[in-house]
Amino acid sequence: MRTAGLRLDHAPQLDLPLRFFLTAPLFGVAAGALLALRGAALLHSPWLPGTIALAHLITLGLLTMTMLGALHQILPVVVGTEVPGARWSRWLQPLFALAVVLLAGGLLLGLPSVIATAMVLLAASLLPLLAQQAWGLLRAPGQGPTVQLLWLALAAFAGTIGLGLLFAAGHALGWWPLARTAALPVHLFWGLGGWVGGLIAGVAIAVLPMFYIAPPVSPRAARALLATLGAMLVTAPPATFLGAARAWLLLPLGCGAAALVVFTVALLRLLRARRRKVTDVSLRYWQGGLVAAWLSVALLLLWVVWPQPRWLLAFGVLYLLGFAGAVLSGMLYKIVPFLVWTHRFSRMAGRGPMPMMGDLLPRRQAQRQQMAYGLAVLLLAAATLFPAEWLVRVAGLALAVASGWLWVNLLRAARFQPPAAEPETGRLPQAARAHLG
Amino acid sequence: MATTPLTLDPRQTEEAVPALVAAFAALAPGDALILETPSDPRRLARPFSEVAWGQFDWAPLETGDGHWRTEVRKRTAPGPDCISGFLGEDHKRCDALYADAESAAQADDAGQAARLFAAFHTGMTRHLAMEEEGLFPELEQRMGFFGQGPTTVMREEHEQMRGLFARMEAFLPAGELEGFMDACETLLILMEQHNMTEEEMLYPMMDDAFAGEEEALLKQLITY
Repeated sequence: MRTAGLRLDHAPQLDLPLRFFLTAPLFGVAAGALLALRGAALLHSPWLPGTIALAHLITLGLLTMTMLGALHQILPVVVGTEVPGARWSRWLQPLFALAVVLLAGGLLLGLPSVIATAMVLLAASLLPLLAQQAWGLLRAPGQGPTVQLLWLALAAFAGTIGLGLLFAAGHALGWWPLARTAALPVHLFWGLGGWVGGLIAGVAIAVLPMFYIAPPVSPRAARALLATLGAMLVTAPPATFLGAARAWLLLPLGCGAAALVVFTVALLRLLRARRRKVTDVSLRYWQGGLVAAWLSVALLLLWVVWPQPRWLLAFGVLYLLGFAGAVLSGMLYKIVPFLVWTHRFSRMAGRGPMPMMGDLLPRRQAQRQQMAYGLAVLLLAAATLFPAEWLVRVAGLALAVASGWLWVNLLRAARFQPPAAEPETGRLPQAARAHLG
Repeated sequence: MATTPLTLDPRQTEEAVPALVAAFAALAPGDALILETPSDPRRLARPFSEVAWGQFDWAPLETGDGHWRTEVRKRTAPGPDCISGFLGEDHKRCDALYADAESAAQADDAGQAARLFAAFHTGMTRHLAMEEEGLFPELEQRMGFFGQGPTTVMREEHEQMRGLFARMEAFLPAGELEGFMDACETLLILMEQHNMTEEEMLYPMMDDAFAGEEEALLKQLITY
């Protein structure tokens, strides 16, 4: 009889994923504020320390922070395996946050000792966090498509961390064991394509059928996704280290584009076949995110054949914020209220008045924040292509506002405590619901 | 997918069963009879299943108050022949009703939302009863789950879902569609996560535990 791995009540303590989810948007605020304060100087070149600081506030602080929090929930609940030593994440998460702050600060201010400290803290926090997830995946009861994509993402993350620490050592200590111009594209392909793209794909095929009552992604599509992303990761190092000409980058880029084709087709099929026809904030983020992903790939292709800094910066904005940031925001709007409701209010069901998820996170607030975020992405993309000083600063401010709004919405949901309910209906008073928007 | 109404009196079993069998035989695959009966039609389910086992799906839409409506659909392929298949298909049927009720509410059609929700609620009430009364006690006995184990967690989540069903039902008579949709959203992840856990872990366990007894068990379950 099959009984192995049958612990069904796997959800972690509420505070564990929440501390990641509630920290991440603050890095979006920081990134936007930095851009608003420093202006177009940060968009002259992708290789300037200030621009690298900005990029890592987003890639590490906003995106990786969210993704690590999601893994703390996904591994137990979706994959069916516990995250070993999860309680240590209560210390590792703030350590990681501090490391990102120090990295950005050290790069901005040109302080090698601060960058060196950040490097140590990044290693001290990210490597154990990575090891937790890998060990948990090793013990997963099944090794289906989601688990395989998570493995790919973690492997890419490990490589990205390794290269990132080497780059930090270069900035801090002047030690460059690898040719920076060759290693950097590998860092980008592994980090953005493998870690961010792979994780988003793996989580999407697990949870989107659940969120929209749709058939699962076909095994063939899942295998194709794995193969194309894997090919991108494998071809990136030889293409950059061995290829004498920039044109070699087209090889991993082509694999990445193929992965995006597979993913887009699978997603569109899923959405067309979905039984739940409502178009909610999450779905709008997915739709916008896919468009941004395609535009970003086109811009990266343009950069390969015509290496202007603006194309790479525009790619960065559209991929990191237009695609990844958007999709992760949509996921947060689903996950955070559900986590809070499950942990805090589900046991009230059938026993008295009980808030609904719309009370924790009102739909209108999420819709308005989404519009602000979309505007911010458009302004940022325009600012990378036409870096007028006023436009860059306004775009930065827009990003700070949109990120801060996301944080406020999530925090409100996390702290929600219902007032006394109307005795006749068992519902929250109208005044309380109106106050929540 | 076409539906054909059929009015029967289940208390007149000797006439009702042949009439049901004849009407069912005239259906095309994928089409359904909508039984309208003044009393509980479940007394017809067992004798009907002796004739048409593996060819039909039996789904109560409305129960009680002197009026029962039941959908009897002719399958396009034989089955299901295992507990996981039977209950998994019932999940999908209830999911579809839930999704359609939510879509009706989003389209401001309170009447349609109420009708679809009633069918969903009836279906889920039956599904939970099949599990809690028809399967869990025997499974717990055979597997040695004494007050703990997966069925305990499932029962707790069933209670949470029942609480949400009651909330959803309370919104509809007053036409409070926004509140209804809030409750739909709240139910969604709980229900889908619950269903996924059952389909991936609990139902295969039942297939193993009740191997060789599937037909007898399923014929019992359709009478719920």
